[in-house]
Amino acid sequence: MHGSRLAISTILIPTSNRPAALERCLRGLISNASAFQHSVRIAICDGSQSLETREQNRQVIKNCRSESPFPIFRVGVEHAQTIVKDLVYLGVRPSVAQFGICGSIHDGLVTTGAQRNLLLLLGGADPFLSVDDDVQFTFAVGNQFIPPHRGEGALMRFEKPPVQHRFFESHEVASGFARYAIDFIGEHESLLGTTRQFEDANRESRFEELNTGPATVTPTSEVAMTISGIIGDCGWGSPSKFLFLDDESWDRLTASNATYIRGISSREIARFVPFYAISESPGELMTTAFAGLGRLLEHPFLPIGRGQDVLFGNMLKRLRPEVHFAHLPHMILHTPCNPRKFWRNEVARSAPTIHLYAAIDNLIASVAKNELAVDTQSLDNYAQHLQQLAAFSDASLREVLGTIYRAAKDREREFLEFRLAQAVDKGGSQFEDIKRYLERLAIASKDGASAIPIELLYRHDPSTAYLRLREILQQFGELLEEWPRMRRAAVHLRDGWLALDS
Amino acid sequence: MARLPDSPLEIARRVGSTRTARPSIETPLAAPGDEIEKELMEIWCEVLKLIEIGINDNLFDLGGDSLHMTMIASRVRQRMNVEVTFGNFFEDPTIKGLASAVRRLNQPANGYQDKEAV
Repeated sequence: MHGSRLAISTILIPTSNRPAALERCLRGLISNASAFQHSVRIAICDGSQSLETREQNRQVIKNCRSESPFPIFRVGVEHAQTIVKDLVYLGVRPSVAQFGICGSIHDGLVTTGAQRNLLLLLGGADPFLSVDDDVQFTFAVGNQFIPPHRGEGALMRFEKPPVQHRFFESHEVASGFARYAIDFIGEHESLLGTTRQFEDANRESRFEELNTGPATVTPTSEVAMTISGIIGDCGWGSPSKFLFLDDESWDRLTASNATYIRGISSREIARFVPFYAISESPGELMTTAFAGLGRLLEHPFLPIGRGQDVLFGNMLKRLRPEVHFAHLPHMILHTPCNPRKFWRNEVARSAPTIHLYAAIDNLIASVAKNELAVDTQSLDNYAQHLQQLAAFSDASLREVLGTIYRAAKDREREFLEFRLAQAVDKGGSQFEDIKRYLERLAIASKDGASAIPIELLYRHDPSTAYLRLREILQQFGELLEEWPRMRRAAVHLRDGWLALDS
Repeated sequence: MARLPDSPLEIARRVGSTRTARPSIETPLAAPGDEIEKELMEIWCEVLKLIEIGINDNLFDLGGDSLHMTMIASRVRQRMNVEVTFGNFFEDPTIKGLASAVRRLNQPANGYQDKEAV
């Protein structure tokens, strides 16, 4: 049924502290893969900290194994030190192996990125699919929200992903739209690894180019990642994102004052593309459900929580400018176990701050402007650049971060001022919120501490936060340097790692 | 000529002068019920530079942002020896809600109550 397409053989699931969600996800995945006759193996990376939760997860997996036609493997945090030792035995520096697959727990940073790194090592060079444990295998489709005559069946290529948003007042309403069964794995296989030539030869009748942007598609261009949309909880850390939506989504959100107030409070959205779309940039990459071409994903995640996926996507594009991203016109239901909502006046909360991933992303981007950087597409080059930054004095790093912060906030200010200027009637709550956001930006610009990544500032005083940032830059630089060695080692070791919990 | 240190009254006047009135919000002003809420109220007033705050006032309605949360968490850590997370604020961004989190997180070995007892 899959013709000459790449077959996805490994499904990767990062999980932490929520056995009920893992069970729901596993059962849904097994049922979906069986219904569409796929043959896969499932690898779970269990980051649960408590013995009790790990035991519950083991029981869930044991139960699912007995009903599953697919092999299911579990690698838990209790195996991390064994894996670190294995990597060290094959020449990887202990501190680097530790940082890469265990993260920086003493900073209180969530280590989703570390879990993903372990999964990347387990997935190897093969095509893989990764799904978060809090998804459910029922789907909504793009043409439920956009009239089907527009681009139905076409594969379109964009410079940026044409992501749209709809907003719902409750999870019940959002999940009501997720009533379709689709061949989830097959959908990802349909575009993963495809090239322009492949498309021209085989899908010409479905290929329609709009807004093609710079002609960077070459015969070697491939779709390195395919990305599902989500319906349900938005997964956003901050409601500020609402203010920066594209015009079409913004118009939907602000159709009335009531829709705006409901929308920014509920967290329940549909994030989707209305048709198959290929983009040159990853956009705000969300890795809730994505497939990757392992051999092209040659760099690690920054082992932190918030934004590690955005940073990963941007780094991929910098390292391999020729690759493309495919966005699939379905949405997987996203149902966190502990749902939260945004508070009405929370929308300006993150105005004065910058996240660690954004600071590091901008620091990495600056390599392209570094006169010493001859080859900006090399992992080694980024590794050296990060380690050079780590050697900066506090004063120099403060200056660089200040510049990055001001540039980021200037972009936000310009965007919001433009949005405000465009509005004919500025009486709605959305404009009060924009004004409040702009006020907070103005106050924050006078506070030097604002440029320090918020995750570090939360736990440390400013001088310790700078020190920790320098350490993280050094550690991430070393991880980039050692990652190829870790990948090579994993080729020989991963079968053993997968058997650790059997 | 050496400058004499400020008296507590002078400090209070100086600090008080930088504080503003509680914004007009719908939540009725409610007083703290115990020592933990009282301490948190003082921290919130310092950080948000407000003269008074009710224990049911929502941080975001008072104009609070992530930096304020960071400053509050830092002072809670220093003065109450408890590590509150961002998540604790999101669950219930009020003094009452944060006090519940502090009580929950308060470990006998190193917690606020223990420190107070010492």
